[in-house]
Amino acid sequence: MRSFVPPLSRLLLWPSLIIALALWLKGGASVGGGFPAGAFAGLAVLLQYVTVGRDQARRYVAVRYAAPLAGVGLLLVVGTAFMPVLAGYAPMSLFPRPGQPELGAGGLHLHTALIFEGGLMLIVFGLVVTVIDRFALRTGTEEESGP
Amino acid sequence: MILIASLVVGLLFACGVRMVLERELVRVACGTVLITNSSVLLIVAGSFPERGEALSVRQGWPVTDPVLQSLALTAIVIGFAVSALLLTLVHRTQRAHGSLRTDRLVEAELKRVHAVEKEEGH
Amino acid sequence: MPILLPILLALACAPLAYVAGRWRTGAAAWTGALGALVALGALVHEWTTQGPSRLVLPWAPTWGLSLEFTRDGLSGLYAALALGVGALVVLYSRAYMPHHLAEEGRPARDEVRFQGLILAFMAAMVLLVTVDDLLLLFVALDLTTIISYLLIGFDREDPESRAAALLSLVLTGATSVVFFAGAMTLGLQYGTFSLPLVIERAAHDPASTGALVCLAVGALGKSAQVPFHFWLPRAMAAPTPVSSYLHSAAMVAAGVFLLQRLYPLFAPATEVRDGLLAIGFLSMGMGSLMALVADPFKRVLAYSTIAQYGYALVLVALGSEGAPLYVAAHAPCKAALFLTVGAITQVTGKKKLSEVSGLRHSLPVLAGASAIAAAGLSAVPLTEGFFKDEVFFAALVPKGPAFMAAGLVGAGMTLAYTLRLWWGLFGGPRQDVPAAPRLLVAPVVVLAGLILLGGLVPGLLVEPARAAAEAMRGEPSTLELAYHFDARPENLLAVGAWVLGALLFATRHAWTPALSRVLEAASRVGAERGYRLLLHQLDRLSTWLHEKEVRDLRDRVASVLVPTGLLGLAVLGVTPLRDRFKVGPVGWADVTLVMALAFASAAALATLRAKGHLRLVLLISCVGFSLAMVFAFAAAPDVALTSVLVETTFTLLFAGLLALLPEDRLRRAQEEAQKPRGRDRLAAGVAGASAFLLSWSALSHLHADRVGTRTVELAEIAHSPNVVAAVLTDFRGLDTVGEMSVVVAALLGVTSLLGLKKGRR
Repeated sequence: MRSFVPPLSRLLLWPSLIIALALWLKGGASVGGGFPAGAFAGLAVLLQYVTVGRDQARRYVAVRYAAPLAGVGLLLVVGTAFMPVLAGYAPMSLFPRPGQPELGAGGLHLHTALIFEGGLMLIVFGLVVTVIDRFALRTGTEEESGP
Repeated sequence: MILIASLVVGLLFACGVRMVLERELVRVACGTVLITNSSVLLIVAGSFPERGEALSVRQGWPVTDPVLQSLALTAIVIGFAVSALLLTLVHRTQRAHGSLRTDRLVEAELKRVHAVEKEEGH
Repeated sequence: MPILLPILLALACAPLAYVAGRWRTGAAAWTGALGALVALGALVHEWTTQGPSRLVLPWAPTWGLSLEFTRDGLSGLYAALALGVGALVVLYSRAYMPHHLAEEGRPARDEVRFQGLILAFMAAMVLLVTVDDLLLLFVALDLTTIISYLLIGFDREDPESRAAALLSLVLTGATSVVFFAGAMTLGLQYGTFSLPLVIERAAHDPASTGALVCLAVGALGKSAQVPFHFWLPRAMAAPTPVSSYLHSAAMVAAGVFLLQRLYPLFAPATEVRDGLLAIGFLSMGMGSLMALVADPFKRVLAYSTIAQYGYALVLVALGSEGAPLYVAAHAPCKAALFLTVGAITQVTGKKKLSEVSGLRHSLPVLAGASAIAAAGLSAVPLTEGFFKDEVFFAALVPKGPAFMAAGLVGAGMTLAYTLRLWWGLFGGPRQDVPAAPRLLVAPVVVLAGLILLGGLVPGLLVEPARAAAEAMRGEPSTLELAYHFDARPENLLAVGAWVLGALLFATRHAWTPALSRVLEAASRVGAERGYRLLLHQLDRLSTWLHEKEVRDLRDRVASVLVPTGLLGLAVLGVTPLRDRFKVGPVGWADVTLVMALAFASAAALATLRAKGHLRLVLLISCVGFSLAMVFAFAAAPDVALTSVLVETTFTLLFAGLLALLPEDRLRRAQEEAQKPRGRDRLAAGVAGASAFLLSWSALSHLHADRVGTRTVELAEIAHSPNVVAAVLTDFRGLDTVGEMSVVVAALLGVTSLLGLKKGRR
């Protein structure tokens, strides 16, 4: 009898990722932010690894290139932090500045903090997925070594 | 409440130290996790006396200290990253030295150091 | 941005030469030399048409940092030296390096790397002399140190050369860190790193002696003055073009340059200047004596460099306006002599004075050109070297007879060792050797021509020397260079020095053996021996500590934790205990919190008794989830959410790790680990008690008005209704950046520890 778990977990991947994105985007206004979003997305991928195995989980581009994604995240974080210095602002100045009008509609506000949080998300996601991936790789191929 | 919180902090810390002093790497890793937990608890415990709303802040309502919350968040994430590194380190050490016991590792390292010194001597 | 043009041209030389060298090896030298000459031309053109000026490029204005460049007499003089001598050395290397590389058994293509390094050094030197900011000065100084390490250790197969490179790196690097400390002190004292501002503010509020001594140490290390002198003779293991460039016009000049650039700070500090004066005379005497007996040609020149920079140091310490001129007049003479001995080593294969003689018959052009350079070094009239001794004597005369005598002896010894070197090479019984390649001789001839030109038409030297002296001392200079045919003290001293030198040279066979025995004995207690001893002892100390530390990991951890815990308890013991500890009220609302905390404690205690590893991991995650519950009840939803997610991931990862570890080994480790030691319990008890009391004390004394309440007000203005997010991304954003770098470092650690490829065992 085929287990119902693998298809179900595959079904769960996309909703989980969307929740992660929502956690990221709503982070400025309510509970959420970059860390939980990254951890949540990582957890969603972890479920794939556990249920369908490494090869199946690595079909997704974001999973294969998790470590470079973390690099992109670091660039975003550092860029948001220090680009304002080039324009003569203090480091970590976010835009729009206090007092300037906000852009955006509904619950979503455009703010450079969002880019910053996106960077955090990518870094945390990259860390979680990379560790999982390396562990999963070893689980299959492990051999006894040493005394 | 202050006393209870600090008692738990102390207890977690003591358990962590006790585990770190074990002879086995997996337990050492667990011990560091406990120590991390105790420090996060200490940070959050600072906001126990005046906890209140954390969301949709309205004027005049009591507020859980947001600075402490963000410090705790930072501590959790760093703790997680370091623990993940520690786990891979345990795995790697086990593969390299074939043992999970710290005293064995020490013996192996001393042996290696002496071998290197002998090589340099000749 | 006209000031930047020569700098940019100098910076472009190395990459251009490298690209040209990829196309054809020989093209690297010609491209590089051409680039250096173009940069020199741009420098001279800008100087003559526009005069002195400054350029300030804002860099990080909110931090008060800017890139500041200057074009004044000092920077022009030193940059011209670096560029001119650099171009000649690069051309010389074109003829020298192929032979050298073949001898070392290395491919001819390595010449491109060598030329690139020399040109990079030239660019670093130009940068050093043109920047006008203490921080940039340090950056450029360290750039020269690093490139000089690569250059001195260019023969990487040769252990002697590697050791020499390391020695020079350690010495000049360590001293430049001391320089940095001085620069930071000045920056903090005056609130700026911009040099003109620092000097302006120092006029009212003199710099502290400590800072000046730090700056001077950095300069002395670079200029190879006592007691840091011993790296220079060792550095002679480098290929000759390196020696001739670094130790005439560039690296060692950098130290004296720094002192001249910073002279206005030193001017009021007479005691520091007296110290520099003593060091200058000491280096002069020591270098000259060593040069009188050394046998390898390059060593003679190295000791002579120490002595000559001792002269320059004396001039700076006396505040003489001739100090820049001295360095400028010395550099071409020394470079030419280095190039000469390099050419001789190439055609004869010999490196020592005792092995060669009478080369004047086979190498007449080289003999003539190097005779002019030697005459310049020993201050014979009709060469520009004459004026370097004239300004030296002029500075000593007002100080009295003792100083005059010291100067006389120093100049006499200079003449003696220069004569000894030249006569040892070219005089004496004839030896026949093959002719030297033209490109090896041509740079020496060009330098000799310049030395003669400066001696015959001293008016050419006056203008740049005056401009440099003006930049150094901040007041108009009245320096005059001319031949006077009268009995003024300078002339008498010069004549005395010649007589003394000639006498010393004529009687050299009588005193050389005795002197070398004395110096041999003295070198046993010298600074070099101290340095070796220090390194040896440091090495032993680190081995001892390592052995102690490695012996038992648990003792190491305990030895950190227990004293820290005791220290914490001691702190509590000596502070007043009244009102220190508050129990705090427990209301009905706290019941859930207390229950969650109790659950966490129970799980933590249970981990100590856990038998299997899986149970252990589950208990640990129990602790984590209970704490997440605590955070949720404490109204910290962001923390609780992150904590739950992180804890879940972590538990699964840990379970994965257990699956990775071999089962029997886990079990064996488990069995062996069941014997806890009494002192471990004690250590845990002390650490836990200390943590408990410290956190109790801390939590009892929370400030009533917190930063937190203020951030709540500010969050609305910062367009972020979630205060926690506002704190993380905005108010404490830099902390978050730092935190993310930790996470990325952990990520890199994981990827390198568990590489994708099946790693070595």
